[in-house]
Amino acid sequence: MTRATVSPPPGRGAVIGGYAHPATMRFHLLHAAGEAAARRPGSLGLFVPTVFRVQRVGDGAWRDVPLPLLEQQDDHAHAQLQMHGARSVTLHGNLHWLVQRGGSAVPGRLQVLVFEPARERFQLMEAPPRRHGEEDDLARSRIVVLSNGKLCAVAVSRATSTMEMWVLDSSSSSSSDTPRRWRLDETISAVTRDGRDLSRTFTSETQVELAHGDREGEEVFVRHDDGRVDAYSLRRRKWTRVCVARPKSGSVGVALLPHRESVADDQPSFGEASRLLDHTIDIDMALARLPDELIQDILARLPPRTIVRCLAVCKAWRSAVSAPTFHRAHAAHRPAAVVKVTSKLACFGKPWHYSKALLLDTFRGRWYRGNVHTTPPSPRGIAIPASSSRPWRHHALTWVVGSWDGVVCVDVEYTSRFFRFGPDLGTQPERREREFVLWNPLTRACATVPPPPGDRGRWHGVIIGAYAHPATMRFHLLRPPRAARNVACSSRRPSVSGESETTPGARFPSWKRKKKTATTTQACNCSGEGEP
Amino acid sequence: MATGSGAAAAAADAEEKESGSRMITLTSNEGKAFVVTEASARQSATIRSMVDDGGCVDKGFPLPNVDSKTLARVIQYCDEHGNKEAHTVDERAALAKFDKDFIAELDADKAFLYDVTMAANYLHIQGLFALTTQCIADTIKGKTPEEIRTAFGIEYDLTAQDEEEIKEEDTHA
Repeated sequence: MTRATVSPPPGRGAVIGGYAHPATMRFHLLHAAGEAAARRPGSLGLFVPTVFRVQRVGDGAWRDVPLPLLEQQDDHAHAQLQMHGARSVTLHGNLHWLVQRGGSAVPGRLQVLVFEPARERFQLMEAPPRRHGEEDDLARSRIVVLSNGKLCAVAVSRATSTMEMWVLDSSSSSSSDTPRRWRLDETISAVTRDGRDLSRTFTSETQVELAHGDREGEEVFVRHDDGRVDAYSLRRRKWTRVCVARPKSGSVGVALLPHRESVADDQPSFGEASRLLDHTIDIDMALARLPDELIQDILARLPPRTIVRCLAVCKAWRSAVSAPTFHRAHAAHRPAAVVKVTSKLACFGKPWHYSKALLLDTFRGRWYRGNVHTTPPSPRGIAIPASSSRPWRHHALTWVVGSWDGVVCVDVEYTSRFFRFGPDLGTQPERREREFVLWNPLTRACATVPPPPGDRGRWHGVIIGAYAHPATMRFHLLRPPRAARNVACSSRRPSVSGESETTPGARFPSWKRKKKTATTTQACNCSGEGEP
Repeated sequence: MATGSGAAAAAADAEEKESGSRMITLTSNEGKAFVVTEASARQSATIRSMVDDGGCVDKGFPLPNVDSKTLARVIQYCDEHGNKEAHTVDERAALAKFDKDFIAELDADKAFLYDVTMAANYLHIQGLFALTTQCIADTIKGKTPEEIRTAFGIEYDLTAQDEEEIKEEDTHA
């Protein structure tokens, strides 16, 4: 990011354009000094330039550029130019302005002033022809560049309430001898859909810009003095109101500005004048970009309902909310809510099948309150389906083991004792299986973990704690052993983009023995506090 | 002035009591120096640990990530919270009022608010960081995703697959 300051030349005037020199890529500014045009109806804001100056930014000195040659056969009144505050239009590397010949008393015809940066000289070019019975009106004419690289003049007529678009046809031979012709491309009604006549309020301060979008095609933007912006889509041939200005205190000098980013390769250079300013600020403060590294910290302070909405904002936010680190940051900012976990039998689906469902209910607010019967699996509840591969499995018992780092852990026991019918009644041995169901109600992620081998018999191990590893964010379960050594299971932390609750069958690596008892105990303590 | 790192922790409490006398120089990325009391500088966990390690107290602390305008504002906060006592109800109310005015002023200039937030994050000033992030979070609260995009100038860049997932999430919500 480079920036520079340039002091203006003496005398009243305005910067009328800027460009990076085609050969050196040094940035230049064009300045016109002059006096305000004589008062005439509609001439407010027009001025008569007397001296054109150019400065190579960084050099600090302004150089005079000769005025364009005005034809001598015109009488003196016409040997003057009038300009308005509209910005220059750049096409094929040249800068263009719409000017009006003539002085104070007699308004002359419109012309296009062209500046060639390579040769540093001005030229005059013909403007669209005058309509019958109407005077050329500089205040109500603008030039823009169409996306196909053609110069387009916009003339607003108050008498007919229309806006005319004149296009300069570039000759195919492209030799400078053949005169290029202006062609009336389109006449647009200046009355917008809400009945406002734009030609009435069009002054020399009104801005006209052209932008090109994928959806709307080419659009002519008209910004009025009161801040209202209307857009006319050349493709759809319709006016739309872009914004109604609400004048805010402190927002001065709002302007439309077509802007293209300059690529690094041939970036305009400011020479020695670079880096004179301390600070660049965003022009529109409301649209200042939120730094990526802050997104997580900020979103962590939001209530859960809003967080779900943040998932739909953009990619960066989506991944920020889905990141495992987010849950701990979020949990740290939320008051610990007392939740009620209900486990109940629910039936759903076609063909219907029964399933154990968990419902999470908070007593604070209305978070996750819902009915699992109608839309299972609902985000407020989780259904633990019976496995189809093991049809004998039925949920018998569930224990809520605990909640660590935003993950609720439930111990589910399946048994064949209930719903057992048929001739083998009483002959088959009772079968039991256990599973730990991990569930993150916020992201609706879920995983199941089988208990370690050897834990299926009479002795039931208990999960005494769980934690997301501070470095890897992998979720760990802690279980005290019968023997001296601790056994822990490592499982991937459920994430929003990963397993959803409809497929809770994601299995995780088998239980691993932790080598050092000391470290596991320490980790267990940490998870107890919830903030390792 | 430099203390051994072992004794530093023990001496920290004692130092804090008489820290009003010691001055610390913070230098912004433009090279502008700010002299603050140690109590004020101790609001920043980053500087506190550097002071406790006994390092460059005399030389001052260069802060290459913070510019002068932001640093001045951050110091304004630290001075208020570091140099004033907050034992009585009145004193606490005065600090709370200061915070409220401080953040209201920052809220008007979002770009500057982000700068201050980044500086608070970099310097680990917990109180200030909580204050500014909460302020930004409050702007998000109660907005639809569309409104959030408008308010923060975010471009819509979600893929069709994301949209599918969001739709699914919505039907459950």
